[in-house]
Amino acid sequence: MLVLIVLLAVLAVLPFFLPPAELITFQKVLVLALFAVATNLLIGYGGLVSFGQGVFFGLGAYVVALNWRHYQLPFWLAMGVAPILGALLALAIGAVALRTRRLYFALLTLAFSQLFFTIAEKWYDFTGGDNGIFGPMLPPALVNPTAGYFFILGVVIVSMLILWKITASPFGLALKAIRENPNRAEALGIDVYQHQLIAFVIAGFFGTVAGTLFVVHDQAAYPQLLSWVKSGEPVLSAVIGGMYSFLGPALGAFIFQYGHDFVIRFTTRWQLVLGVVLLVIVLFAPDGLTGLVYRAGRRLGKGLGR
Amino acid sequence: MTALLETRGLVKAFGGLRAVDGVDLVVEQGRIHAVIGPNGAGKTTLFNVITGYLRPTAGRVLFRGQDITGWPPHRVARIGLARTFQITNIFPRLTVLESVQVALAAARGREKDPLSRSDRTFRDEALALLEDVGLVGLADQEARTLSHGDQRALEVALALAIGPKLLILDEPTAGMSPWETERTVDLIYEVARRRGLTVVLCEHDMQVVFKISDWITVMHQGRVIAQGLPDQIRRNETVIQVYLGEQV
Ligand SMILES: Nc1ncnc2c1ncn2[C@@H]1O[C@H](COP(=O)(O)OP(=O)(O)OP(=O)(O)O)[C@@H](O)[C@H]1O
Ligand SMILES: [Mg+2]
Repeated sequence: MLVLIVLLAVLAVLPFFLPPAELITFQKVLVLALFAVATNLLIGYGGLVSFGQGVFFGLGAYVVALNWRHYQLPFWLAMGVAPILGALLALAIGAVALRTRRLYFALLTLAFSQLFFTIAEKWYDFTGGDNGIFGPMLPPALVNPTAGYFFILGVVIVSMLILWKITASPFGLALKAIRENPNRAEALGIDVYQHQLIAFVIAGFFGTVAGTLFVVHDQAAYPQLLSWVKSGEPVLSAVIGGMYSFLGPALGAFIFQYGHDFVIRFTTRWQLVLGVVLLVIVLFAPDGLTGLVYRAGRRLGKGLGR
Repeated sequence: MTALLETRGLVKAFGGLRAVDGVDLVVEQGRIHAVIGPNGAGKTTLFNVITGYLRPTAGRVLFRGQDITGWPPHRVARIGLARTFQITNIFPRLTVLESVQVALAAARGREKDPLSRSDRTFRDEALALLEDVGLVGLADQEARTLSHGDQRALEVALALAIGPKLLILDEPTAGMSPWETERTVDLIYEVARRRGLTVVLCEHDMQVVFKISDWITVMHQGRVIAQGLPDQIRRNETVIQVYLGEQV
């Protein structure tokens, strides 16, 4: 609890200490943190690994950017409508992909995201193809990096509170039971398919919210946001930070983003470094950093004679 | 007495093997009904077909007169048919308390409630149930850390939590120490009588079977070869030959 208050305080004063360029990087961390926590509703709670969450992230960015380019409806309207579209898309994809077994679920979500990636890349007239869409698409109030930061921070906090509430509810507990043992959950009368579908829709909704926030950060939408590389980011963040704790994936996002920026200063082989790091985690700390800290804390507690 | 559960001509074939081969089972309301038979007789397969974990090749399953053939497991559970599994089947990383709470939430139709706090939902009831099965002291332990016997007791607690009309127990005392067996059998007997529960029970321990059952069905190679009161079964020539002979 104390940790959270300190964290919030730090986040609140950060813009007054960080230079603008650093602040903009940190915006990206916040966006990824929300994306990762939302995706972890599937991984850590529902026991479902999706390799296609990028489709929702990209959708959020594209809805805002395409609206600016083609329709000029108010920015705020696009921000509000995008997550609803994301939820509907999740309903459609989930209804198909969740009918299959686990491995096929991961592959199908991947296939759907590649499908949308290809559409975004090829449909030049509408999406600008692989150039993407760039331009002054933000309302004046959000152009200033500090304002943008506080807007992103606000939306991320509200979204996370909602997600937190959901994970701590009986629905969240039922999801955990499904993660632990879907077969047994069925025997208690829990409809596994329905629960996973609802979780997928919620994760899609907030993944799309994160995508709209990306536009506030970057004023752009481009096909890579829909790709499997983007889809991998929240999954990796969850694995690094720990998928069995609510904020683990957010911590993972922080490490992922800064780790990336740090590593590419020395080598172009980011993927290789990432691979090694993941291997180490899977071998030595399968429940991620938060799990490691938790276990170390308990051991320390025992050592101190508690 | 009326039949609570009935199967008619139930068949389950795995390729050429008919693991359940035309079983007509009638389970009367309020009874403790044992299903016994040698390894591979088809008892577990029969339970899996009844509870929706396997689709029958042929035949019907009726529960309170309603045809539930081919229903998915969660629907079968909802109408009051609970089961435990021969191989311990729990939620390893949930605490004992959480496990029972989620079962209670499911039974009351609250498993999709996104707003309440799960840790406060049905807490007292869950603790009372754990008191009944002797696990209250372990409420905050993760289920995976429990001893085998305690995990089996948790299985029974989960099944009881959904407030069933019929409880199907697949070798509830498998792998238990004599002391744990006795505790579990007493628990089943006492709870069944107190709640007026109907129990279908598969068990290899004949002392247990003859002690608590009102009615016994004997299976062999997928078929029912005998049924009757415990005293009748004990003296049945065929049953002694294929099954009891090796035990007594
Ligand atoms: N999923 C399956 N696929 C193929 N064969 C199966 C399957 N499940 C069970 N069998 C076979 O069906 C037969 C009946 O098995 P079942 O598990 O129902 O017996 P059982 O009476 O419960 O035995 P036990 O007392 O050992 O638990 C066995 O020959 C078994 O090998
Ligand atoms: Mg069996």
